[in-house]
Amino acid sequence: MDDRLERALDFSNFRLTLHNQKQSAKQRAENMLQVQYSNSLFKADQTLITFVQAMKAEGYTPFVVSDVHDNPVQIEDSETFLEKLISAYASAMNEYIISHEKIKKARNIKRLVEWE
Amino acid sequence: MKKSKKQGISNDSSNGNNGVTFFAYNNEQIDYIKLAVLAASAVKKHMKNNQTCLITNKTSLDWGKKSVTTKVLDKAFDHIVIEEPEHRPNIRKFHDSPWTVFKCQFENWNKNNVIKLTPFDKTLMLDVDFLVNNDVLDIAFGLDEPLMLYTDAITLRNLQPHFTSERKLHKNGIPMLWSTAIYFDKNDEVVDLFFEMWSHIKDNWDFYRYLYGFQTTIFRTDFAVSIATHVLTGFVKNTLVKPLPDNPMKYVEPKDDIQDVLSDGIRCLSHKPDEEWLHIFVNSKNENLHIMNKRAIDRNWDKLMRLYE
Repeated sequence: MDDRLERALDFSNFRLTLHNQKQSAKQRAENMLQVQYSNSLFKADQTLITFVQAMKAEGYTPFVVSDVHDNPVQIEDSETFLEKLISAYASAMNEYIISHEKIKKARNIKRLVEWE
Repeated sequence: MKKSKKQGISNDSSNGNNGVTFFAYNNEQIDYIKLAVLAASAVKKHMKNNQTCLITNKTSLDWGKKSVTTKVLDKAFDHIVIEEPEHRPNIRKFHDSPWTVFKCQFENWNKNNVIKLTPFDKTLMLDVDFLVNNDVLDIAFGLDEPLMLYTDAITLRNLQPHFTSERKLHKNGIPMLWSTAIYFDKNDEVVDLFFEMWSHIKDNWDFYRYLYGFQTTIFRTDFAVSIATHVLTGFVKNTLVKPLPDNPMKYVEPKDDIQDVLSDGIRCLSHKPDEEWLHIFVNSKNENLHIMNKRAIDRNWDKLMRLYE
């Protein structure tokens, strides 16, 4: 095989594996953002955290938010709810950035899949 | 039906009567008990709702006592329920990488009886080839939803299933839901209806095959739960059965393989469906995995067991 093509195909394989590992890390972070509160499921994303913070700061207690299935849920204890959201967000994002940095630094497939 | 409770100190750390249930019936090709032990060990390691129950028959259990030893079985399962399956022919084709195919009897006729057989009020029924690698499924036990399963799945390449038959029952038909993991509260009336409907579909399989337009003659529980949900929702898009918290389910396809087990994950070989000789490596860490290549699990069983010690 022509060396140039061989090098290009090696790189192509590496890029495919790199992209896939990044996607998996992102998927894992998405899963870790799931928070159960008051028998309902929420995603601890930046929007929800900011909204809950704003409602709390404005003194709305209790207040209503939509869960991931768009059901209205009354939040009685905004302090605990916010703590849970921030904790899930921090854990998910910390793990995500560690994985992401590791993937980013890998320069070949063996490094990427921790063969060496 | 005979229920036996393991003696000794319980390592149950769940709240209430919650747990995970597995069905395992050996055939001449696959030691399902061995797979169930591994899957239960993964649950014990990663989940808080980690009481486990094995539903099996006497011959499989007797074999398991020899192949994995009674001590290992006792450690993996808090409850063992003996239930003979309904013996109806159900020959299925299995793959082990793109290069090996084998056929054998697949016992899944009585999976709908889990609602009667499970010792738990809130149950997560898992297939024995589903390996839990995080605690996200614990969330299901705390939600106000009586019935949940995976409504979508992605391959190791983070893509939707390649073939239409893995996404829909027919090219113009209803979406396929996955029976690999089903969470349910057995005291809920809708859950009762769901399992009754599943049983009815099973008893009238040929009729439903014709009605929903699919070719396969083997009884597929994925299809049965998809039809049951479609009927109970009112013959429209599913709004009844909610997805499990880590939906979509990540799965290792039957033609994929396990290359090695790492200290903190599993390294797989993922094949390309339209060019089967092409593979990429995929490291899977902290994600729940439905490993459909059962022989690959068997080949790596010792290493995988060490991962869940």
